[in-house]
Amino acid sequence: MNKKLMLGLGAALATTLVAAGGTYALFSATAPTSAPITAGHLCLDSARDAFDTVPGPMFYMTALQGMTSHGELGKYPTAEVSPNSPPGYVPPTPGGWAPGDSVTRTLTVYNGRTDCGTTSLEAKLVSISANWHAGSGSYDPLADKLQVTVLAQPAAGGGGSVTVAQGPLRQFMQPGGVQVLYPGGGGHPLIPAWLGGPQPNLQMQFQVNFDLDTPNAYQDKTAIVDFSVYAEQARNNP
Amino acid sequence: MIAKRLSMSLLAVGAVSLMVTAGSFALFSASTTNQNNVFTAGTVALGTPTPFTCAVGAGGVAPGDTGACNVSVTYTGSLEAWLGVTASGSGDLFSGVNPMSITDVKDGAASLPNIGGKYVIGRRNTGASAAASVLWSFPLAAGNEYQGKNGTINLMFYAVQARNNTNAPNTAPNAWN
Repeated sequence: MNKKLMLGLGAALATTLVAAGGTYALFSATAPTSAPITAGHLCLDSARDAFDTVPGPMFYMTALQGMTSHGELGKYPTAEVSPNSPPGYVPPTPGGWAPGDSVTRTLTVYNGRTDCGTTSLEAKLVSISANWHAGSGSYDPLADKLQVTVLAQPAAGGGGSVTVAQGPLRQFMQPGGVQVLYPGGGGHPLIPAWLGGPQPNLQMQFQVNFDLDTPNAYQDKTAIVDFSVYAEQARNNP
Repeated sequence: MIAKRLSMSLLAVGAVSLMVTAGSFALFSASTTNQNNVFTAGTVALGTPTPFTCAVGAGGVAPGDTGACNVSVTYTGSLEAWLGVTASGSGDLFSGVNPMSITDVKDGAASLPNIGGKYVIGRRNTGASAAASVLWSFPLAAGNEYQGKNGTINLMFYAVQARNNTNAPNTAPNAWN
């Protein structure tokens, strides 16, 4: 009786073990294979007006302030004539910025010019922002007296530049900056050159106006600004 | 059975919540920055006017006298500016029935135009000086009540940016402020 009980228990145990362990094996084979897949890049860079020495800031008072990293003086200082200035150049702000002054400079934005090869994605402009240059000690109230208007080429179809962002500098310094909005919607795609796009770059004009109604407290004050242009992938992003 | 269904439902709800919370999608983005854009405001400033000199006859002014007070100032601001001056008299000699008066303000031989309440000297750049002669007159009809009285000729120089603030004929600023 005990022996039968033991045998029965053993069988039950074996069955349980098999059920718990569960998987039995059959003859089989595998053949792995794979293919690489790579995410694209947004490769943006920019340079001030192509006719100026590059790289350097768009707006600078003296030739030295506009000097490139390799020692070339800027051509278009706003307060003086540079040794590199073209003949007949008239600086727009001699003596410094005066209330009512307005100066426009050009920034060209490139997509895929840097070493991204065939992984550059089509991009579209999203926003423009500004910040005080780190450690510059800029006079903060100037952000309320400098008005910034950004113009850019319209979407495919040509035509003159249109205003795509506008406001006091202070607005460009808010989180997220100022959104780029083309009149009538749409936008200007930045198609990388390798895709055969007609416009791998975009010329943008930055116009800065100094409020005519600016009191004496702003005399001799300085602001040093970094302007940033943001873009996102154009695909799947209406 | 009900407990099992409830558990499964809660699990499903939890999973969906996690997806939604994690859920704001991200697109590829990039930026490019142009640094070190410099904006420095200019200045409008005047130096201290030279000590005032007024030529008068020996013993002081007498009825019928005329004269001139000469003064100059240097413009020290960085911005080109319009300079102007106002002149007035104060004190007993400039009050009463037959007071002294300011009759003209000149730059050399030429009378300065009075535009907008100020005698306009002209446009100056940094380091340039501006001079003015203030002409005064004491009426011949002034009576004995003026004997021994005093007066003061007061001048105030003004400077205002010329750029974006010049009238069409280029003879004066649009505003002195």
